[in-house]
Parts: sequence; C-alpha cells; structure tokens
Amino acid sequence: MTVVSLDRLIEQVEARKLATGLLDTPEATEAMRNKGGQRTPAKRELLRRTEERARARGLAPVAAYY
Amino acid sequence: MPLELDYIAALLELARAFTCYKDATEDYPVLVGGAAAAIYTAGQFPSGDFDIVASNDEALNAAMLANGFRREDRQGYIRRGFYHPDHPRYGFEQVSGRLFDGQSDLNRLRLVTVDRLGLVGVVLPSVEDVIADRLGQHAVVCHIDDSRLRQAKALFCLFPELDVTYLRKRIETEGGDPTVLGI
Repeated sequence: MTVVSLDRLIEQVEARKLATGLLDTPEATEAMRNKGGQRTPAKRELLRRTEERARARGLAPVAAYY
Repeated sequence: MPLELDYIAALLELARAFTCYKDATEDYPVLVGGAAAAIYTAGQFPSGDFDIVASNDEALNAAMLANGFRREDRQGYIRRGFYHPDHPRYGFEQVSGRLFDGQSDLNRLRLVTVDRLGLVGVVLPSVEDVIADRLGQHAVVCHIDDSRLRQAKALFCLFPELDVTYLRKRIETEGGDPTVLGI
C-alpha cells in the first residue's frame, strides 16, 4: 500500500488543477454534485439527519440532494 | 473549493478510528464513494457523507465509538450510520459488502495520512478504482444525472500517471464505458 500525506496529496492535486486549467468554480462543483435520484433510503435518511444536526448547531449544511 | 477545515478535522477523527480498527484487526477500513472523490479532487467535488467498507462490523463499531463517534440512534432506515457530535455537518455510514465485490487490486490501496506526524490515516481505493466506480454508477443514472461522469473526468484529468490498462478493465467490470474517457 502506498502512503501519502493529505497535505502532499492536496498540493499535487492543486498543482495539477493549475496546470490543466481545471477550475474550482461553484458551477463546476455543482455540476459534479450527485443529484440524488438513485440514493438508498438509508442514505437519504443519513443526509437528512446530518443536515438537521448542522442546522441545529447554526451551521450551513454541506449541500446535498436527497 | 478546497477541502474545508472542518472536513479535514472530521477526517482526522475518522483516521483515528481507522487506525484503531487496524490495531484490532490487522486490516484497514476503506473510504469509498463520494468521500474518496472529494479527497482526490482536493474538494473540487465536496461531499458531506463518508461511506466506509469494513469487513468486521464489531471492530468498526468499537473503533468509531472509541473515537467520539455515535451510532445513529433514532428509528429509521439507518442501521450502520454514525455521527460525530463535534462535526455535525458530516455523516458516516458503513456500506455493506466487500470492497468493489472483490474486483479491485488491494495492492493499489492508498493510505492517506491526516495528522502532522503521519501516524493516523484513512485508506482510499486507487484513483483508477474510484473512476471505475463513478463510471459504473454513471452507466445506471446517465439519463438523469451526469455528475458521476464529471467526477470521473475530473479525476482522470488530475492524475495523469494512471494505469490505463487496469483502469479500462475496472471500468468494464463496473459496467461503465471507458470510451467516455477516450481510452
């Protein structure tokens, strides 16, 4: 098993984004977001509860379709 | 967008749990699905849930609870869900079955250390396996949702050193179409 630190991995990926012009834009992020059509009932419930917990703590939930 | 700080903090807690599981079983759980894609894209694809494959249910449960996670305790569909009270924006779920139904090459797993000393980490499938998984899902949902194709293309672009022969084989095994990546 190869080992890499998270910092090093992120550094490599960010460098590659710059080299290829792959941009971290809100539009690109949204386009990659799972639209939720095939989620299992368990996954929908997990996401619903997670969103509920975040809101209860006054935090913005991570956007997810479910 | 980069991986958010609270995402990395949650990942660190998970890495501690994974290391605890490893100490008990001599094996690591594997982080799959959207979480693997999120890490390999350094947050370009953000995900709020962590899917975990682990063969020993009891050891995973013990490792998670020992590191501050709690079981989803309300009635409902979730039987293998966890949450961490300090990281309420994220959910954690053990998914059933073997890693990619036993079709992936375990020698290609990657340990990503999360702490500064490199003592604890999470194990991810190879990028090739994550791409194959994304394209396998795309084959099922492509008529309504091309998000998994976009994730796969981003990963393919970000990791130029991929083993294309293995990647093609794995995509086909997962029911996907390698030609969408031009291979």
